Amino acid sequence: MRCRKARWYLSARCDGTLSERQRGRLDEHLETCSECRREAFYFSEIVVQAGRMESVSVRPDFDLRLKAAIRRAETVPASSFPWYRLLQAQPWRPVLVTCSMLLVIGLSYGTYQARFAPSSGVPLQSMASIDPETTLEYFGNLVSGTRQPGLPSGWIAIYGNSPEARRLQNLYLNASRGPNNYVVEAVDLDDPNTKKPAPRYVMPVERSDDMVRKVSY
Amino acid sequence: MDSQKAIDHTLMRRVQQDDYEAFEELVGRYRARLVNLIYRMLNDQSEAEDLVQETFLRVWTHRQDYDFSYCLSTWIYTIALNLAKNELRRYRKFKFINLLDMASKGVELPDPRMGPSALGHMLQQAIAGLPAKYKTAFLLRDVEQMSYEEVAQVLGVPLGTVKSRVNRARAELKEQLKPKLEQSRALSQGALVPVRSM
Repeated sequence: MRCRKARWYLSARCDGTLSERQRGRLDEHLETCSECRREAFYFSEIVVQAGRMESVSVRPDFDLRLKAAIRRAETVPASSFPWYRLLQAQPWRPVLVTCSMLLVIGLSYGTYQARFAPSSGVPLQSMASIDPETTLEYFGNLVSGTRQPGLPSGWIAIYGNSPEARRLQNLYLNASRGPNNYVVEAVDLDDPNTKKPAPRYVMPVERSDDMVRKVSY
Repeated sequence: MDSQKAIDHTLMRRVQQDDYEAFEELVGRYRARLVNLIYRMLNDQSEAEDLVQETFLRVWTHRQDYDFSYCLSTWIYTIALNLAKNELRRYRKFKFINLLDMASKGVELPDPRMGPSALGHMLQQAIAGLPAKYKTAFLLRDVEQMSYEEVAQVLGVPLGTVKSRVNRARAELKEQLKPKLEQSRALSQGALVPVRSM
C-alpha cells in the first residue's frame, strides 16, 4: 500500500469502518512507514481526546427555568402569536425575496417613468393603442407615394388633409419629442405644389421596431 | 442503542398524554449532552443553556407532532442544532463579546509548555475555529459518539457527506494541533490507540 492510500484510510481506521483486508494492509504499511504511523497517531489522538473532552455542568436552576418558560408559553393565548414569525419560517423566504425584488423593480421603473421618460401630450392609453403596423398600413392609404427622398431615414410623411389624416397628424404632433422618436412629416395634399409637397408638420412618433422596418424601405 | 430508543419512545408516549414527570425525565436524559454540544458550537454556556431550554420548550409545545417512526434523539438534536445554526448566523451579523468570558478565557489560556493534558483544552479552541458544517459533524460524531447514520439523519445530509465533513474536520484539527500532538506522541512513544470498534 502506498502512503497516499494509507492516509486516505487513516480516518476510517479511527472509526473502525475498514474491512479486515483493508485494515490488515494498512497495518502492514504502518509497521514500515514512520510518517504514516505518525499521521495515524495524530488522527487517533484527536478522536480519543474528542471523546474525553471536559463537559460543562448545567446550572442547577435549569429545570426550574424551563418549567417557568413552559408555564409562560402555555398561558399566552394562541392569538398573541406574532404574525411575523410566520414570515420567518424557512419555506416563505424565497417567496418573500422574490416579492421584494419585484416590488423594488416595479418602484424603480415607476420612478424612471415618472422622472425621465419623455412626457407625452397624448394620454398613455391612446399611445398604447397605436399599433405601428396597422397605423402605417393606414398611412399607406393617406401617403401619396413613398418616403420623400430628401428626408433622412426614419422619417415618414403623413400626407392628406382629410379629417382622419388631420387626426393622426395631430396625434403625432402632440407626441413627445426625444432622441428615440421618429419624425413624421405631414403634408397637405391640397397644396398647389402637390407634386413637390412641402413639409407641413414635423412630428415625432414613438419609436418601434415594426416602424423601423416599415419605414426603412 | 435500541433499548435507549425504546425508553425514549415510552417516555414520549407519556409526554403526549401531558405527563410532565415523563417530560422531566426526558429532559434529564438529554439536557447535559445538548448543553455541551451547543456550548461547543457557540462557546457561550449561558447562550447554550438558553437554546437548550428553547429546544425543550419546542419539544413540549409540539409533542403531538412527534412521529414515532423516527428516533427521538434525532428529532431533539435537529431542533437544537437548527436553533444553534440560527444563533451562529446572528453571531456573524453582530459580534457579541462577553467581557466576563474574555477575562476568564484570558486566565485559562493554556501554556504551550504544559503537558499533554492541555491538548483537550487546545482541541476545544481549535474546534471553535472550524467552519460550522465541519464543526457540527465532528461534534456529533467524535464528541457525542453518534453513528454516521444518526449524524446524517440529524443534519439531513447524505452519509457520504457526513463522512467527508468529519474527515475534513479531523484533518484540519490535526494540522492546527500538530506541535501539541507531536509532544503527546513523544510522551506516549507513538503507541497507536485502537480507537473505536463498530
